[in-house]
Amino acid sequence: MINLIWFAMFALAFLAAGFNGTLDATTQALFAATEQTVTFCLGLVGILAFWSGIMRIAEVSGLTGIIARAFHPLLKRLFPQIKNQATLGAVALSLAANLLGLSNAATPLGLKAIRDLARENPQPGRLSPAICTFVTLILGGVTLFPTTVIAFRAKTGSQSPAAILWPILGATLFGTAVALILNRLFSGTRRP
Amino acid sequence: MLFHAVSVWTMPLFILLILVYAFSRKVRVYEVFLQGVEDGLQVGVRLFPFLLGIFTALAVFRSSGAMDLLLNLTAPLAKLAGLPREIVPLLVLKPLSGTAALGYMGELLQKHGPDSVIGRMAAAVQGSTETTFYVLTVYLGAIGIKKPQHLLAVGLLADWAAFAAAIILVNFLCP
Repeated sequence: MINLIWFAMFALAFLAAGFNGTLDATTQALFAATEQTVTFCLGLVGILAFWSGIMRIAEVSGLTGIIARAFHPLLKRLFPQIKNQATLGAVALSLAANLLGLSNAATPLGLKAIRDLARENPQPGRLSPAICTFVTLILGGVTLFPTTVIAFRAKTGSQSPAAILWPILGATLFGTAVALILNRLFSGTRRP
Repeated sequence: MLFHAVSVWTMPLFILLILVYAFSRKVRVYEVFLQGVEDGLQVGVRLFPFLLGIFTALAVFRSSGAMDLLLNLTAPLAKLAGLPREIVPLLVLKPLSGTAALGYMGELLQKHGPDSVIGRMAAAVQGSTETTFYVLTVYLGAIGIKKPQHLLAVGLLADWAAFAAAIILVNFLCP
């Protein structure tokens, strides 16, 4: 599926480019994108490395374990396969960062959590149920503070920029519930 | 203003809490920090192929005009669902590219005003999901999994469920 999508994007793009006479611009955009990826990746490496460092501190100090215990009733249901407290703690911290809208921290913490989950995967290289549940929760994107959207509303002169908070909370909760249900439904029929 | 105070303080407090707790437990914070950094560095490097794959595909798709073609095709759908036609491109863009969707939302807010129905719909849709393609690329890339399998369908269907909820809630909460 992913192969087809990737192929189709390139094939349709060059077809459309030939048709629209935008071949030159498209080729230029392609090579500009490779450069942008390098810049983006370097920026990501910096923030990832910083948060990995902070997370290691939280782990060694035992804070991760405390947070895991606080979220235990919820995590036990979502991740019945995972017994390791440090892993559950990483998952809890990542979900907390998402919930608080800490967009700089959310991805690095999430990647730390999913790598911990992958380490406990009985079949490395495959999607385990725990990994699927975690990615599903991230895709749902529940957040209490949609910081970027509120900043945009403030910048364009909204009377009450944060008023959008409630519809967004409702929509993300609904989307996440749908995602969890679909994940449960589809993973039953997944090819081995 | 309360919101501003909260958003300014959460990040520093989050970091401070971790550091103060660790220091009080006599963790050698700086040395432990450096160990963790090395770990994060590796993930960043491993992500590069995945990011290059998605960014180049999106770049050619957008600059060739294929994206506009796709957006034009969706216009009749808007009529069918009784939506303002300006909002539909956002529903297509959002799962594909977070930055493109954010740019388009910004345009809508500027043109129609952030407190108009279209402006509020756009903001609610923008905030209602994560960017499915990006999340799958980065999270699965970090653990070296190339095929998202059923998670792609889960992400896209949940996106559209969340968009519907966002649009309904905006109209329902303050029509």
